[in-house]
Amino acid sequence: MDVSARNKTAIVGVGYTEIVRNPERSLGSYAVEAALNAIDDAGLTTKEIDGYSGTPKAANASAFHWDGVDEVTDRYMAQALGLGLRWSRDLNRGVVADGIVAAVEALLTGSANYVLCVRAMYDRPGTRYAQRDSLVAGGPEQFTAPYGLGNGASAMWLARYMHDYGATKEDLFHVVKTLRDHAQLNPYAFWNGKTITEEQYLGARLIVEPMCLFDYDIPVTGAGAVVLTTADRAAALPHNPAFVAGYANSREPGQAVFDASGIGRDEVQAAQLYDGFVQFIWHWLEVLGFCGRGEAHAFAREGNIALGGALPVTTFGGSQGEGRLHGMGHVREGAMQVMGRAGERQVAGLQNCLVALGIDTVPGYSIMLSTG
Amino acid sequence: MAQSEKPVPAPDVDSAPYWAAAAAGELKLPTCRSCQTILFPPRSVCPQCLGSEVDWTALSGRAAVHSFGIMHDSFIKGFEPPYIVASVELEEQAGLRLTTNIVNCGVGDVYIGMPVSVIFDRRDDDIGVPLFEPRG
Repeated sequence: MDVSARNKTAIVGVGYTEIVRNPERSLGSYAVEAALNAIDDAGLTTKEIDGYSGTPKAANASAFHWDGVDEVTDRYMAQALGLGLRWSRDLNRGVVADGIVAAVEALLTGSANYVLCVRAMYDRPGTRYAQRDSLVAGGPEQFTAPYGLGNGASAMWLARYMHDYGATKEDLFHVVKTLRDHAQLNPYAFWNGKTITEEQYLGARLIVEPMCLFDYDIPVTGAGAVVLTTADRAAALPHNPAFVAGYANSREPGQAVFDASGIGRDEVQAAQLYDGFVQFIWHWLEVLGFCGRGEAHAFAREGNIALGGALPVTTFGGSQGEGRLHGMGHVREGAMQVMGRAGERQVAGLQNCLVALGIDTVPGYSIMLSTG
Repeated sequence: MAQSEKPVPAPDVDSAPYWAAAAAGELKLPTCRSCQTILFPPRSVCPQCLGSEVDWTALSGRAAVHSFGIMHDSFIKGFEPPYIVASVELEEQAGLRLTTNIVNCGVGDVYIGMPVSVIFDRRDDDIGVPLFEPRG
């Protein structure tokens, strides 16, 4: 993002639903509920929403891709809420950061004045998330599925990291434990009310060794939504805005988001780092330069990433503690921290919160949110 | 030939020679005619120099395990856990890595750096899948 766009747009409303394992109502109804909550939170009505960006993709290998059933598109939402949209976009990578960045671009070009961003995720009962039924593997999958490898590349990244830098499963547990502890302060979190011990962790079922069950985020059904608008319009709304100070594609060097936003690493008081697989936290800490290459496991273990530490990370518990919403929880928490509305999790004196979403195979964005 | 119980690659224009070579017992990849970079996954344009002419080259099939994971769960049809998935680096070029299975090897015996060589698993009449086994 060019520096001229700093703090010209903001998140002004946040909405969420319950997060469950076995839903009793449709995914569409979750998305509608989250959207209405976000619009109401922003002090707006559906009449004022004239932009929409969604990241609808159901990423599980056996997804139906049925609108309203396991995905929710802009078409579904416009119809369900009676939205008169001047601008709308569904972004196929499924990473929530894409929807936020698209909303900023729409606002900056005047394509829309109030943009609703929605992410809904469906945990299909009776189906395992990574289950793959087809015997035909095309595209990039032709080089993995014939080997019985689904999304296992990250386990190999972890094995190599442990080999190269001497990191241990005990080190990784420390990250899991930190996120689980943060989840205890988040009423939405699936694992709220359930902490984890090292004994439980080290005794857990292995999935792709060296990864065990608790190194993966938990598949859930739920939805989240945010509303963005321009800085001048935000001034008239009820909450302190969470300004978008800058963003950078995750393919760019880690320095890019700091340059775009004009906010240095030492001015970031918390970071919501994507944690679909828990070792991504190590990856982000190093890529973004919060510590050196090969140092993240020690940096985390020293307590730096916990609430109260030098750089509180993923302060709502993340996909690990809250549930797999592909980054919507990270965006919500980043906005709530900047708005000063994070309750028990609030980082005192916070002015800037970095939200970093995406992984190696599915690039995203790092987004700097700021009090402006 | 009986239908494979494991997923079978669906060849595309860029990858078809790779799978056909494997069916014939050879590991072949496109090599850029102008800068000699070996391309994986197979491409018709070189990402290093943007050269658009490639030659399909037979490789030694010798590699080292770059990293690996042990699959303890069964998400994909036809596989009985535990089994080894690995990223192996071919000796012809630094950083040239294939995802594969290490076979004829106990799950407790594989290690990073292990020397391996290619063997082939026929999945149907026209398609073979390169696998790797420990090299003595």
